[in-house]
Amino acid sequence: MAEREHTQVTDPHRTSCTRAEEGDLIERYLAGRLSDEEAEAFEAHYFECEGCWDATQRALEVRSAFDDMAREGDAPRDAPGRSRWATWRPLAAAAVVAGLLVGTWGLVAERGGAPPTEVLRGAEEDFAVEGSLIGGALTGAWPRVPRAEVYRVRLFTADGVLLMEQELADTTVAIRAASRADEVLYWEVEALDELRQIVARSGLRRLPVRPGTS
Amino acid sequence: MDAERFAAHSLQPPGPTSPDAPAASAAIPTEAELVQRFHGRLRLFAARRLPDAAAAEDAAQETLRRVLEALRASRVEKLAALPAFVFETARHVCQQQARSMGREERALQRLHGDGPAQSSPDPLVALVGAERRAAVRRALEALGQADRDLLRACYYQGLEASEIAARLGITPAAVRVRKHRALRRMREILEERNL
Repeated sequence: MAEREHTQVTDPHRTSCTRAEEGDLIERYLAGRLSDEEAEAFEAHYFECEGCWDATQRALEVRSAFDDMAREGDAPRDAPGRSRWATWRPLAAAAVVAGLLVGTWGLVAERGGAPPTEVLRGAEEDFAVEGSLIGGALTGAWPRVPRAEVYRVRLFTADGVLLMEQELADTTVAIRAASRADEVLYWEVEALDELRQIVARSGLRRLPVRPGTS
Repeated sequence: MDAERFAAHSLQPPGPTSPDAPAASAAIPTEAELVQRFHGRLRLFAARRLPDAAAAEDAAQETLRRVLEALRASRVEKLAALPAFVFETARHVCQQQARSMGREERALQRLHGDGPAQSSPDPLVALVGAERRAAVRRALEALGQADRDLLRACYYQGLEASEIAARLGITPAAVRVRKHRALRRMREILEERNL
């Protein structure tokens, strides 16, 4: 491999290989910002190069430590940028939402007024959402997430087909869902910062159906 | 590749073995040696391709098993080619596992109507043990605020040098220099405190 010409191995753990340092390669790799081809080329390299593997491991450890700190409340000044490797998404072609519906906030009334006010930290989701399908419309609410500029709301069928995706500045949603009355639906909310990186997510939630006028 | 460089990379003690000698005529790496050298790499490799930490670990283990089997059956021509062989084996294993998981998920959905899979937490976090994370965290907390903020921006927020430079009003090259210094200080702290 060409990069071997640049390595001078006297200590297998301290090579002079500079490949990982070029163009912030490790940072971009861990953040999922490399193309598949670039990422694979880097992976093939760190299978061979002890120096670059060491550097990648150190970066991974630093990233993980900061993640622990964030989860325990030592919040960063700026929004965390989660790896875009993160999740498998059962996406397909999206249907278009048919307009807005002025919502009945029966859900909020049931809870006595205010939506949840705390951003909850958990193993799989970062904040709780409350929502339901009322009269064919998705209505929901969630707490404001620090550093979030916009919230992306997605609605899925049980087969994982994306029905609707909308971005909102507010922490409430009221949108007519183009679905059958008896269809089981799931939804999720992602909080995005000004760089459009996900800072928190609700995780997928089944949408309960409540009676209401169509 | 001269003998000294080969010895540095080789899995067996330095000896008269030529790096170009067939693997069958040299000492086959033990399972422990394979694990030590490639397990971490394989887990990270698999984490980029599979949906969760458990699947990534399965793929890493399966890859190691196949590589060891290939070595014992003399299917690896040269030890110097071992890293590339491990890499290619991992690709195949992950492709097979991803296809299998896709089929299983679809079958479960049809059978139980359970809906789409839950989103996973950041898969990278699971790759570092809790003890090591704690040690690195203590070292980070011992750094100055500026160093810690810089490393956070680079490795946690995923900002590139150019973006950080713009925020700080310095050049990207200066960002990289500061980053290297911060990492070096962190390593020194880890070593001093035997963390």
